Amino acid sequence: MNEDPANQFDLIFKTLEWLCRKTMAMMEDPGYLEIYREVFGIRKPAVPEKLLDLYEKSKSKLRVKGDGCNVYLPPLWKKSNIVPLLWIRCNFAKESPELRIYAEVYSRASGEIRGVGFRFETPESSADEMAEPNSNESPSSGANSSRHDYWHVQLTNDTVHNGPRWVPDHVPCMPVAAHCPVSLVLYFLRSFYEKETIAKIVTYANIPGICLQSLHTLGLM
Amino acid sequence: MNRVIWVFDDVEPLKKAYTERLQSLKIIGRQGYDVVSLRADEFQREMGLLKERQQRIRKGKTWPDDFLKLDEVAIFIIDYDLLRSEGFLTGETVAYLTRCFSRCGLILGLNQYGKNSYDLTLRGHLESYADWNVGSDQFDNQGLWGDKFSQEAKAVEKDGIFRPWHWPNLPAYFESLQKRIDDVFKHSDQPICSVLGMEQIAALLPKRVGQFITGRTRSSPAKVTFTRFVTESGNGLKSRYKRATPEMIARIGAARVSKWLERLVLPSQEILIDAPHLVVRYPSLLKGHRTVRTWNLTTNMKPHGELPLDHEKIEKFRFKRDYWLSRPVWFWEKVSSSQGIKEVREPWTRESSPFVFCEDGSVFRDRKECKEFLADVDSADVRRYVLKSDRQVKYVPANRFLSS
Repeated sequence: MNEDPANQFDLIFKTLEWLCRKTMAMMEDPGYLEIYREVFGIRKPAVPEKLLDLYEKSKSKLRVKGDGCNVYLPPLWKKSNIVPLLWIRCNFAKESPELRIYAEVYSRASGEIRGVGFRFETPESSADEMAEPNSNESPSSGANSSRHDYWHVQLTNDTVHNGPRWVPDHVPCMPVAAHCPVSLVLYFLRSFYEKETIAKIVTYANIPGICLQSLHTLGLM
Repeated sequence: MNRVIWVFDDVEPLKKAYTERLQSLKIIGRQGYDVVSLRADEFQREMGLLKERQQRIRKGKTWPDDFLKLDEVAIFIIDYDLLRSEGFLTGETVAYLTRCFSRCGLILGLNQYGKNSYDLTLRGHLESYADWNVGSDQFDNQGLWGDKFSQEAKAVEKDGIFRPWHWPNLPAYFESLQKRIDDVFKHSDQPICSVLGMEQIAALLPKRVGQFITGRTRSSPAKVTFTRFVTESGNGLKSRYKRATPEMIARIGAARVSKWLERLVLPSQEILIDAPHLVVRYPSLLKGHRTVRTWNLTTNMKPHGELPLDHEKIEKFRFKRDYWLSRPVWFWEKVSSSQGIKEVREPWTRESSPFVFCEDGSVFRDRKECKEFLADVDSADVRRYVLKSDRQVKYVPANRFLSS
């Protein structure tokens, strides 16, 4: 596989772009609109042009602080009342590329839009620099990062609208089947979509199949 | 008897130059075409007769038994600016009248969108009634007039060539026109999508794609017939004509629906997909050695059987009424779900394609040699590439390029 960080960076943005365009295209169908429109009012959606702008501005440094660039995922099915979105932070200029995928999942519960957040992450080393948006505890503190020195996912309520007041945002730190930043994105997407959809994304973004190896090993592809 | 290509510009020296340039292309003569310059007085006479026909149709009558020379013309090349002609005509008005009220074959519109430009949106000017729109610096490009631009030569050529992929092989496209007309004539009151074998995907058409067919009708794209498209949508006859003749419906329907397929449906590569875009997505379908030469063999306009593809795996997904498009195409949705294709069945073994396809040169090249741009097509697959080998060509809108 091409481990070139610039290539990984490019593939990830192509994937996000695909998600963004797909969602916006599906929004043409009134059947999908209502709950998405409600969440759009709370967490402003990134349009493909904004995402591209972010890509263009960041690709020389391979570093992104994508807060506010909310990429909505396509509806899971037509009448789905789940609205997933993501935004990312990454630094691929480091020796070990870092990627954090902030996933927010919204739905209507008890008459209002409520959300839950997850963070999919590359292994953290004690030298990690990317601070959490609103966290009181720094994940860079030695003891914590040594616990998170593998590909993982954990709960978060950092930027989630109307989420739980408190979540255990360092444990459980669940291992994920990933071995490179692109494979982390694909793992994240596999947790929402069937394998056929993942195969289509891989095709569109021209992602080498080896990025799916971890998922395949676990029988998820 | 040779077929006739007519050339008209109201500026005599330009008309003469265009005619001579086209006459100097040996490939045109070899294919049995005579290139003729249309005199200004003849042009006025032809326009007068076309307007008479238009008025008669509006009154519910049929075409008169006049002698319109345009009826015999295979390809009519008309410049856009006709400021010196009577009646403030533009080439577009001429194209509309010719398309709707004559038996002329193909219409090539010159200079409506620039003399030497490449449209990075990849959106095909469906508003124009010319079948193809090109610039006057491009219309005598050999690549437009035949499949003689050698793929092998292209593969080794260092500087590349300018030959947009969306261009047809114009003589071949003319040869297939009668089949399209016959198709509409026989099925004028059947839904367009059914006739084209697209009924199953009609519901998946993006709004912008479907609305060309529906236009002003209050119908879904799946239900619009050729007759309704021509008489009611506004994208065939512009006003509401309740009594268009069956021949008019066949000719207008064939031309406009073919343009829709070529310039709005296909460029997205999301509904129909052509060979070069297909092998980028599924390299395993490419037969033979995976050199750039093999990849480039997918970019000729030859019949599907002559392309170096694993046909057994995709034949049942092929668009069978192939005379409707200038190149072989397949239904993407069906191909992308076929377990017979290695990348679909085992995506974890997928090899990414080593080359990118250059839309302006119809060639595969190493990505480093190409410039990436964003097409404005109804697809998630909007990142495309151009070679930019010809510095005279103006690529517009320039802001669609991604910075390198």
